[in-house]
Amino acid sequence: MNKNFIIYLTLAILFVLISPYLFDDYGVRILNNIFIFLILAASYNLINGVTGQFSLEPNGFVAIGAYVTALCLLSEDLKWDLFQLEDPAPWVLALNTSLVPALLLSGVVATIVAVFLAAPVFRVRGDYLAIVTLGFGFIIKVFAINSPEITNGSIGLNEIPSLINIYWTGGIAIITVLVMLNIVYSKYGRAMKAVRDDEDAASAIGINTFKIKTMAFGTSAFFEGVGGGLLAILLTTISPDLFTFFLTFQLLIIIVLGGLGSMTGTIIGTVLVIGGSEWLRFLDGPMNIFGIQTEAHPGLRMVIFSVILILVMLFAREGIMGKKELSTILRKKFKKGKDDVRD
Amino acid sequence: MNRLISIAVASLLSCTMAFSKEVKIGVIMPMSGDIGGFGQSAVEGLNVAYEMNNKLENGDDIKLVLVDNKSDKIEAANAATKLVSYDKVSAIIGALTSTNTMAMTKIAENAKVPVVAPVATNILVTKRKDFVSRVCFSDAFQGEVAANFAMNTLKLKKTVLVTDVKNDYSIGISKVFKRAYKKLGGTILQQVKINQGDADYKAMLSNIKALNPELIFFPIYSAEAALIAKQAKQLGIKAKFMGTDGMTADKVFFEVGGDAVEGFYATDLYSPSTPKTTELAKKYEKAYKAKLNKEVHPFGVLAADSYNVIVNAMNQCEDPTNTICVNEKIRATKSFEGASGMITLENGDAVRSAVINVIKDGKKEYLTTVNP
Amino acid sequence: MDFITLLQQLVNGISLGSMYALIAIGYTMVYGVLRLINFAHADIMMVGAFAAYYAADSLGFSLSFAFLFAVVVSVIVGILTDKIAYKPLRQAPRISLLITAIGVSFFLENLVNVTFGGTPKSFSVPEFFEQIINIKGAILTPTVIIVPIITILLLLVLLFILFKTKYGIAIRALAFDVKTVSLMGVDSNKIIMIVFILGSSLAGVSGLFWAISYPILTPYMGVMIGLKAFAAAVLGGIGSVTGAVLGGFILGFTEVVFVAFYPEMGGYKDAIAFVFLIFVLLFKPTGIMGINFEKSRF
Repeated sequence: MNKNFIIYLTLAILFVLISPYLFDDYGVRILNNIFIFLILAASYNLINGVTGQFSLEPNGFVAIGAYVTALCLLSEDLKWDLFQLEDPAPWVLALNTSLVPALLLSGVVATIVAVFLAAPVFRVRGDYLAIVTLGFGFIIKVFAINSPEITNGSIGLNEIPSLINIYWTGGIAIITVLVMLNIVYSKYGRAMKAVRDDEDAASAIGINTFKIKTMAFGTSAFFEGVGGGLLAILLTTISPDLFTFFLTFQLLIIIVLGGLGSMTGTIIGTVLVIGGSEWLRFLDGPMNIFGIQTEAHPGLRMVIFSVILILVMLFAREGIMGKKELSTILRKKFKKGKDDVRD
Repeated sequence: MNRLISIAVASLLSCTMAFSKEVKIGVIMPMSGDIGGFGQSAVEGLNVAYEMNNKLENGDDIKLVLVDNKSDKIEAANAATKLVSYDKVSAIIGALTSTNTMAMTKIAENAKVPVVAPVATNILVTKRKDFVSRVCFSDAFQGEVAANFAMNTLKLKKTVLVTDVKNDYSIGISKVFKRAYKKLGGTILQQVKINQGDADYKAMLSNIKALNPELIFFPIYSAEAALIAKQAKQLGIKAKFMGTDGMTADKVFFEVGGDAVEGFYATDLYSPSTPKTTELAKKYEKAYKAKLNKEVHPFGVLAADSYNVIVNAMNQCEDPTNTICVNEKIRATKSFEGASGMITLENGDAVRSAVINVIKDGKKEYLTTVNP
Repeated sequence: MDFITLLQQLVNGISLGSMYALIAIGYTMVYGVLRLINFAHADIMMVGAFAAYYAADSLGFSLSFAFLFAVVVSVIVGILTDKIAYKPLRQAPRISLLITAIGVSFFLENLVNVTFGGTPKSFSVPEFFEQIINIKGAILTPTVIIVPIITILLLLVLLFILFKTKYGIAIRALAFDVKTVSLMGVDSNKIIMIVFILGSSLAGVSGLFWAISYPILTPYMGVMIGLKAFAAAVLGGIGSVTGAVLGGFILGFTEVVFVAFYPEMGGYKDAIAFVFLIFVLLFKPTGIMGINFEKSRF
């Protein structure tokens, strides 16, 4: 671990610690959102940006994580009360743990599903992979709607105890980024990048591409599951309509904007997209453009959002950071002449 | 020149504003996204009420702060936090669906800001909450009313139940109806599931036709109901149809349903032709029709009544920005003459009568009232 | 199930299937040439439907004019999409193109939402299409007969264009390899534009027929239909127009049969398309028709 890295890490931890005092409730809420999305985006970046597998699965794994955590944290009495459609299945009632095991279980269940899916999913590549993963995400949502004994159908689960605060989300976000960076700079990470850059060549030099892809997929799924669990607790209520393609789409925008494969880029992307979409709220109300008073046009925000995405794709495809990390750029700026093989 | 004038006007206004306070009411509604249409209808109705009365009795101005939750829970929660801590609203109206409303109740409870839900009918919305109230009756009540009417008044014993699994309102009412109807001795021949947003129902309807039920009960929203009605008529299904307030809510039901929906029964909050209605209801209906040129949309009038109930409560408080006082008075609402009828709140739930309408000549016609 | 109900369900299957087929053709054409899953295709269909609604409702056009208007608007939107969003990305990695397509899709949906509002709009269906026709106890409306016929006609026309005209050869060549074909002196951009014109006009037509059959329009109505039509196209063999039609009918039938036999499981109906999709992609990615079927026949 080099010096710069420790500096960044300390700054990050400090920031998380003092944030409740810097911001009001609204700011803290947005920060919570940013941290959770950071967890999701960083792990999504692993399979999508680093390993180059264009998968659209996050909403499925986030859903799994959210439901597992929610079911674990709700007490048995509460469950009898909440489940309106059908009586909850007995094993659902029996499920009851505290916060950390719930989150871990979310991650583990998501990973297990991912590993199961890996075999069929990675038989295809490119666009087909995208569609197959999109399909799985969708099937999970349909399943959630139609299994009231497990998920309470469209009514969803609510009154999830609010056990977390900014320290949890910030802390887990930092841990996730650390883990991701570790993987990226390890031999597994290099193998993943090799798979991304040219899968056949990678296979030719002896990399077990299937194993690498499954590893990335599984790790991705784990953190997406944990992130989902945190999301459930933050919102205190979940239902199937939370886990739509739009969720995956937001993560996609984030990692593309930040630069596929760059962790720093993901951080910047998350702040821009999540913070930005709150900031752009003003577009939904009556506006004052150069003195002309316009009427409120709710929904304009989403239009502008999609335009921004298209513009980014047209003019800045590599995203803000491209494939580089902040440390690489700074190093190149301040230490000319030193060879840098890492990218 | 223009600039000078606007500066002058602005300073004049701010002078006058310094003398009267501004009280803010937050509104969280889905204005885009899957259920954006419903949110838009609700806000339209709310604006009519606002234009009718936008000042408190003590002269304070009321300002509505509208936030779009994009049919999404995360946004609903963010919106609630923003309204409470940034805009410092004294009350919140929202958020339309029960699940989205529940996303913000915790925030409201923590901040001790009252929430009045216009349309969220699931019993869990107000259960165990101190700061959440609603002006509509719950699914439980409406489901029972429907079952009683079907069995005891219409004497129809064999029913097919159509549930929209994507719609928590539909699920809630279906469950209660099923239980109540069976208890009264009726038989549910089949419970068919549909998805909100579907267009083609012919497969399911052909099946139903073969079962030959006496009644089809479908607590779903207007668009799906209209398509089902139309396709059912095309297929020649002879059963009677009964729906709930969500069905007749949007005019699209009448436009698309046309003569396929003649003779349909519907439970509802109120009816335009009901004999006993409040003064405010008459005034509201006039203003609504004048501005929007269509029949009053239930979501709209309920949003309006959420507003009216809040304003009524604020008028009873010394300091209308004292959210605890406002909440108390909201919860203590008794026999308030709202734009949709008489409203009494008990523990946050609205105790109000339901009416049963029948569709005649493309309009809702009052049949009878059911008291709680 | 008695015979009449069975017959009725058969009719229902044809009716639904032909709608999917019509939309699937557009998907498959664009994919065949550009290797792009044009997520925006179904939204162009929605725009077409709204254009027809606007023409009939606000501008007071007659149905034939509204029809023309819908097609013209769809084609314009299609061409613009290609020019503005897809053309600059011809050399870009595929993921960029896909993301842009998703962006365009969202843009169209939300633009319509802001312009027309999200409340469902009712489309006034002309009397002619509302007639009831009774064949041996099975009931149908004129659209049930018209749409499949038009679909098959369009299929034949398209096959003719693709295999017997110069442009068609160019299109198929482009589907094979864009770079080499441009080296041969074919203006690939012009050909691609032709593909978009064809595809978008198909989308516009399907939008109109959808509005006639299910006369309630919302800005987001294209989403599910698009995914299902795409699944149908893949099922039939992506890139093959015959396959798209076949896939559409199979999907339509399966959905109808599923609901007919398992009404209580109606909630799962939407998942069928995805199950098909996943199975096909995993076990026979070239679909039922396969890429070579058409070549060997024509």
